[in-house]
Amino acid sequence: MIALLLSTGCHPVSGRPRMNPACARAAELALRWRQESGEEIRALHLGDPGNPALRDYLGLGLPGLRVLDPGGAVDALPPLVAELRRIAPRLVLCGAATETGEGSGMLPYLLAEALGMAVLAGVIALAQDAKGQGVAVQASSPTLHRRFALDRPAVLIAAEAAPPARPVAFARARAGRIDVQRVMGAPDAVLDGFESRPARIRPRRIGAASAGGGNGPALTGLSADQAAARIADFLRQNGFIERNGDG
Amino acid sequence: MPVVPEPVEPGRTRRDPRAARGGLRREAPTVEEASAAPVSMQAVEVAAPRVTHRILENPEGWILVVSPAPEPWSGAEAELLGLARRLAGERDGVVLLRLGAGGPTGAAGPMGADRLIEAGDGAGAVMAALAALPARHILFPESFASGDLARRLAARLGERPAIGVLALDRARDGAERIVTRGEGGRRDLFRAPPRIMLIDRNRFAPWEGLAGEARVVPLPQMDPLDALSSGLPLVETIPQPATEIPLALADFIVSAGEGVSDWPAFHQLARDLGAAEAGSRQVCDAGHLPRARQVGASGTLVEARLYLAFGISGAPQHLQGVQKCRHVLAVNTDLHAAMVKRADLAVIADAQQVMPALSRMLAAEKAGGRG
Repeated sequence: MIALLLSTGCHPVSGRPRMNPACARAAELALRWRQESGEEIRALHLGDPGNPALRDYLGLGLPGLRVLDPGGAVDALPPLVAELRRIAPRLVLCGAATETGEGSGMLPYLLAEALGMAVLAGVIALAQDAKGQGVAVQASSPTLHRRFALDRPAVLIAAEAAPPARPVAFARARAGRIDVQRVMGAPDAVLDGFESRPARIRPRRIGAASAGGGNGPALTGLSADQAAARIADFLRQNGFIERNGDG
Repeated sequence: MPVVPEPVEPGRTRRDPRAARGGLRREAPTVEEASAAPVSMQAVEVAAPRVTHRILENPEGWILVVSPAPEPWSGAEAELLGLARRLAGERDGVVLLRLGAGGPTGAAGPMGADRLIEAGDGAGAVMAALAALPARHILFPESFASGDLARRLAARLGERPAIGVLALDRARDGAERIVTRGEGGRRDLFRAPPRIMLIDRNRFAPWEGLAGEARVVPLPQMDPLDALSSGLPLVETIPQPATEIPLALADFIVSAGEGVSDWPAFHQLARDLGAAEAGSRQVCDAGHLPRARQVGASGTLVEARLYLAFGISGAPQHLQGVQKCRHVLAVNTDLHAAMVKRADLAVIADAQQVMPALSRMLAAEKAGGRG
């Protein structure tokens, strides 16, 4: 069984509640995995059960959603650890960071630490190998993907490069059921201790990544091979192709 | 241009503002040395009373800067050391931990490092460095790999990290605070600098004051079992074709404009160079490349380190797209094209001849290097 952790977001311009895009991508990974393996998905949300964005998650095709309602802003970790201990999933899927609260992306790591599970970030796909064993594909960099065997309980974090969520179907959003369960929680005292102000535009340092000014030399009258040699020299000097003899 | 001195009226002394300014500038390190001297810090005098660098023996604490390879963005190490030096003040020392091979190799001293540890890869090195020099703050640059590492470390140590530090701020009572974004980027959060911090790119100025000593510290034995690995067994690594990297993430781009008609040669060259393919609007309109490969105002604004343009004249909308590229190379038949003016090196030639010539040259070098 897969547990899918879903948080709600907030549109950056209109401020309306919406699905957190990172969590929607995690939901997409879970739905694709269910299609492949037939494994059951248990979707969980901690927060206000009246949030209209929760219906959108159901509209993606999730059969149901369990909402843990603490009745206010609380530290998400203890109630989620308790619930995950109770249902004991094989895999936990979630997004990279919430759009509410601190949004530091620490929750999956803390859950894994508390539950004794492995944790893998940057997951773009779940697949089955020839023997039916689950495999998670991690996008370590744009040029390198790594496959990890899912042979033990793990928390998987959907990558930004994971496939975007499918469209929301209105009928499914209406038909899906939401179970609400009251839970106890304590407020996050550390977060409440931070001073919070509306975000101010803070420009990046100019000239840090100094763009080349141009106006370099323009070489005329070269043969094709001479031109290629000059370009290759420039590439070599800047480390884009290996130097002679390095290979 | 030779400067002709103005005739000076007799009886009137003239001030030389440049000399006055220059004199002040030269004194700046000495002021720092004077304030630093009483606290566990000695300045070394080399022949003249000019201080060249500071030497710390037993500072009150350490600040660890983790510099992974490859550098997440150019100048990341210098920016993190700049912030570390500011956080350190005069009490603390700054340790630079270089992880893995192929990272920055510049002199660490002038960037403000008091100690330098050069380690292999993996989080085992961070744990070992922490065991050797207990650090008050640990700074990571924001990137996928080091963000993962910083969060694992924070979870393991039970610390609450600051993710995406944007600025250093001073509270009314004079205490130093750091600024991060919360609520999905809608709020600024202020707090005292925590132990583990992930630093946003291009936010902090490199250190320009007195150089550190950058004494090399041998790394105490590393944990053979990487304490902070994912815990899942790695099955295989799959290199992705460089030509298909999303343009916004690409470091090296080969781009084609209307001056390119030999498309097989263009695709071959992109494969040979290991560069992402891109094109101008005209090329994508004509269907030679997919729309996702378009560079410019209505396509992608790229931030590649190198942009190699074949047969692109350089419409203003296209130049907007390459504004943030570090180096631009242009091959074009028109000497007066705007792209040629923007380029760091331009070759006035036909792309149809240069592209296969460059491919041939790379192939010959590859064969020569292997043989």
